[in-house]
Amino acid sequence: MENFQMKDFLQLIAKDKRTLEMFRYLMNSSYIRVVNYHNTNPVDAERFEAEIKYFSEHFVPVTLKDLGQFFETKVWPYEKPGLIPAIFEGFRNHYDVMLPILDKYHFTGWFYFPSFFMDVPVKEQLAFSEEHDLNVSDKELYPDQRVALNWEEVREIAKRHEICCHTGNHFEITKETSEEDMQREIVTAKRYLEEKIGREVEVFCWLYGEEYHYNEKAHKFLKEAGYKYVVSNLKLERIR
Amino acid sequence: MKEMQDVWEDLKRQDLEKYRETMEYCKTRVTSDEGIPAVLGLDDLTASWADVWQGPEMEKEFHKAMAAAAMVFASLYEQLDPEELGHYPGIAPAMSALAELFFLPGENGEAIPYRSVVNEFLREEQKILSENAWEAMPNRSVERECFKEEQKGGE
Repeated sequence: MENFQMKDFLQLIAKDKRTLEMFRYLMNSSYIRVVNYHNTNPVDAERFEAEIKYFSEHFVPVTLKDLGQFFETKVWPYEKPGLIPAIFEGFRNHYDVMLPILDKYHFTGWFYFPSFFMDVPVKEQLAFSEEHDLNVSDKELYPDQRVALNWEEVREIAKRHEICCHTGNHFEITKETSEEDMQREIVTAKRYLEEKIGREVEVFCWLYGEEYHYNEKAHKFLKEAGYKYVVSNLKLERIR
Repeated sequence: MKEMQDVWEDLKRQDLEKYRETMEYCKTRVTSDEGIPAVLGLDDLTASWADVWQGPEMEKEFHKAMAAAAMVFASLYEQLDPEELGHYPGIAPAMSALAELFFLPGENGEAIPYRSVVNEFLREEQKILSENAWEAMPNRSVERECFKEEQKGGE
């Protein structure tokens, strides 16, 4: 490193305690790779297929069972590293484009759904998306304007992939969030999703890397809801 | 086996240019439409902080190089204007850049970047995938829905 000054370097990496936390996870092999997807539009289908095919040849897919075993034994059970395609927002194009590709290569996807998005009336879905920071990149794709998955599609995805809760309304939870909002976005959102897919939802994912706002109040609701894992943009935490 | 001292010595020999290039590249990614790689730390709040984890055989030494690289990226991001970083600490974009540059270990333990493996693979695949991928999608609800609309005479 040019003009490397260890003292300056250490001061920079000590500015935020999370930096050294990440160093510890990496040195201790306690990490997992993910590739995050949002819109999976048909125009990108060929690229997605090439990516998933590549993943299937160089990595192993990760199920919740695999992850649970890794947490339990602290030993990764495969020779190859694991990789999670994390598919966010519950867009209809996940079913049309990404699901068949994942199924073709037998690669497990983790789908993060805002639980109440699917119940928004079709004609209101684009407006809802704009209001809730759900970035629909091709608004013309569906002539009928349904951009969210419907429950039938969600249940089909749930048969072979992992379903995770991404709040109820794609809602940013901060220290200032009221208890009523936390109850709805963390607890009710989980139970509603479970009711619709007929199985337990173990993973909750914050918006915008909200582990930075991680606080006792939110923790209380996460525990009450019964989540096992909480995902942010730096960590995947096992909480029970 | 590499020890901590070796990791720090490695840091002094890093070519910062490839780190800066990766940071520039990361700015150009379209997060809404592209696959964006990341590395998540696994934190077991139900177990001892001191537990030793064992990763995949393929990454036996690679994870230490990743640890050092994450710190290099973090130090570079921490030097940016705070407005550029937003409310995130340098380590947040650093972990994304790390995942981009250290996507996979090569045969000799070298880091293979995500964009190069995917782009190269895509070029190869495009030779093979002659059929339009959208046409091959078994679900294709767009057409299904449109067909239903036509059957109903539109609404």
